[in-house]
Amino acid sequence: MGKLKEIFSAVLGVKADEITDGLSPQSTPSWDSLNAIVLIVEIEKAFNVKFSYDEAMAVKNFGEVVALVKSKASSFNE
Amino acid sequence: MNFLSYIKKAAEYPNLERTDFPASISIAIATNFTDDILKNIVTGAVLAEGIYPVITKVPYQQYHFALKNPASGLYGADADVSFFFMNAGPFKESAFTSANGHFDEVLQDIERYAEKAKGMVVIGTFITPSKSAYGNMAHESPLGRAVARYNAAIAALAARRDNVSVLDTDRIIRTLGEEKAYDLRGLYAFDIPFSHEFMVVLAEEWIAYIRAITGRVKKCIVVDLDNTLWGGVIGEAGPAGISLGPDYPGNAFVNFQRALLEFYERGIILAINSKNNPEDVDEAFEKNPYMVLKKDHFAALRINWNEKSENLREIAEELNIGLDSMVFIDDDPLHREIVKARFPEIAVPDFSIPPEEFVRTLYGLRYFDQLSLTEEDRQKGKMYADERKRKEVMSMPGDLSEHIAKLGITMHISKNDKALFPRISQLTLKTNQFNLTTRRYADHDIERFNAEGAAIYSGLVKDKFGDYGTVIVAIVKGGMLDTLLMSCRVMARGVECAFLDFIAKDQHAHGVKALRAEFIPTAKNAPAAGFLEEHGFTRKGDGYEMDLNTYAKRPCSKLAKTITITS
Repeated sequence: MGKLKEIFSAVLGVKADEITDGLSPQSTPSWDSLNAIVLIVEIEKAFNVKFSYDEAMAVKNFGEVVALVKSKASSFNE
Repeated sequence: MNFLSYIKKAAEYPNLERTDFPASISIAIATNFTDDILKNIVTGAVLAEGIYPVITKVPYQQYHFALKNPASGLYGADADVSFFFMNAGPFKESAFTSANGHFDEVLQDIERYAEKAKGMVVIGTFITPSKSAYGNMAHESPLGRAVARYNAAIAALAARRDNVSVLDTDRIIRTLGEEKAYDLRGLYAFDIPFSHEFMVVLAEEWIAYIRAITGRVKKCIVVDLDNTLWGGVIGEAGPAGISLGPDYPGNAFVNFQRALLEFYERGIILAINSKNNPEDVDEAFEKNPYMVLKKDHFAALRINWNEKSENLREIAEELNIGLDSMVFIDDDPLHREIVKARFPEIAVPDFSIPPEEFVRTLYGLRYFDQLSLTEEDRQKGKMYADERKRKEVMSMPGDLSEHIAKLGITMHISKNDKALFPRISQLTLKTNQFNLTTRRYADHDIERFNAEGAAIYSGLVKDKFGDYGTVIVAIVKGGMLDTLLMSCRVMARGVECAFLDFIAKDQHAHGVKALRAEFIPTAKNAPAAGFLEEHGFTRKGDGYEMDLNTYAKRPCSKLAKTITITS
C-alpha cells in the first residue's frame, strides 16, 4: 500500500482497496472537517510538502489529493 | 506507537464493547482549544494498553462554565482521572494571555472540582514561552512572568491536595522542541495549536498516569549480560577482556550499569537472564573492577543455556511477580522476538542500539511511573535481593515451619495511622495476587474511609534477614472486610493468618459480633481464593461471614504462632 492510501485508510477507517479517485467527503462519512485537517497535516509530513490553506480546502476527492501531492512532492508513490 | 497507529486504533472504538476488556477507565479532558484529535489519540492509546476508555470531553471553549456548574458533563462524568491542560502560547491571544484574573478563577474552580472528584486530577503546566518581543529576556515578558506565576500556583495546589498531580509540560517541550510542538496554521485556522507529535507525547504522559492509577506498573528489569551489561562475550574474552571501563565503548556499559543501579535504588527489582557458564559470570563479578552492579543487587539469577523465555517464566515464579510486571533487556533481536511471541505481556524494548544509547533509552521507558514513591518502594530492589539469600535458608532440607520459625518473623500492626496511608493506598493499587477484592484506592480515599470511621489496619513485617516493610493491609467498614491484601513477598509465612487473628480480636473488642467478607475473583488473585474458607469464614448469601464470638477463642494456625505480634 502506498503512503497516501495508508494515511487515508488509517485516518478514515476505510480499507485500502476501497480508496479510489472518487472517494470524497460526500461518499465517506468519516471524512469530516476534523479528519480533513488530520489528513492534510499527515500528508504534508509524509511527503515533506506544504499546502496553502486554500489549496488544501479546495480538494474535493482522493483523485484531487493525488494530483495536488504529485504537483508538490519530489518523489511520489500513491 | 505513532500518531497514525493511535488514530487507527481509535477508529475501532465504536465497534468495541466494554465487556471485551478486562478493565475500563473513565477519563475527563478539559482544554481551551479544539481537542478532538487529542481525544482520539488518547482513545487509541488507552485501547493500546488493553483498557476500555470512557472519555468525557468538555465541549469546545466551555471549560469555564463546565467547571462552575456542578451539573455539567464534566462533574457528571465522575471520572477516575481528569486531565486539565490549557494553552497560553505567545502566538495568539487567549483569556490566559490577556488577563491574569482568568487563570486565578479557573484554578480556584479546578480546586473546587478536585475537592468533589473521586479520582485523580492532573493539571498540565503552561508552556514557558521562549519567543516574545523581549528577545533573550522572554522570561521578563508579561506572558513569561504570568506563566511562571501560574505554574507556581498549580504546584501549590498539588501540594495542598493529595488527588491533584502536576504534569510538567515543559518536560515535553524540552524533548520535542518548541518548533515541533506548535502548529501555527492549526492554531489560527482551526484553534488546534499543537502538532500531532506533541499531542501524541502529551497523550502518552497521560497514559503513564493511567498505568499508575490502574496499577499497571512494571516492577522488575531482567537483563542479559553479554553486550548488554558489558561489551563482548565473557565466555570468549574472560573477565578482564570484556568491554567495561573508562574508554569507549566500555564507559557506555559502565554507565548503563550505573543507571540500572539507580533504578535498583529507587526500588526496581533487578534480575539476570543470560546464556553463559555461571563460573565465567562469577569471575566477572569478582574480578572486573569496573562492575558497578554486584551479584547482591540481583534478586534472581538465571545464568544457564536454557531458553530465555523459560528462564523469564521461572524468574517471575521465583520472585512471585506477574510476567506483566517485567521488562526484559537484551541486545539480541532473536531472543527478544521469542520472548515477545511467547509472553506478549512482558515489555521487551528494542535494545538493538549502540551502547551509548542504552542509558537514554532506559530512562525513556515509561513503564515505571508512579503517583508517589514511598520509603518501601525505594527499598524494594534490596528487599527482593535479600529474599534470594533468605530462600537459600528456606530451601535447606527439613520441615518448612521449622525454617520459618528460624526466620524469627515479627509483625507490628498499626491501626488508622495516617502516616501509613500513602503506602496503604499504594498496596491497594499494586497488589494483584493475594487480594480478596482488588479495590484500588488513592490516598484521599483512605483518608475518607478513616474520616468515615473505618478501621484501617496494616502490618510491618521483619525477620532476621531484614525488613519486608508494610506488606499487609485490611480495611474494615462497619464489620465488613472491604479490603484484605498482602504483598506476595510474605506469602506462605503465616503472616496473613496472624494478621486476621489480630483483626478478629480487635473487631470483637469493638463490639462487632460477626465479620463479613467477600471474594471477588480476578485473573490474578487465585492465591487468595481459598483464604476465607480456610480461616473460619462460612458462606452467607453472596459473601462470607465469621462469627467472632467463636473465632476469638480459636488459636490461629501453627505457622502464625511462630510470629511475634506487637501493636
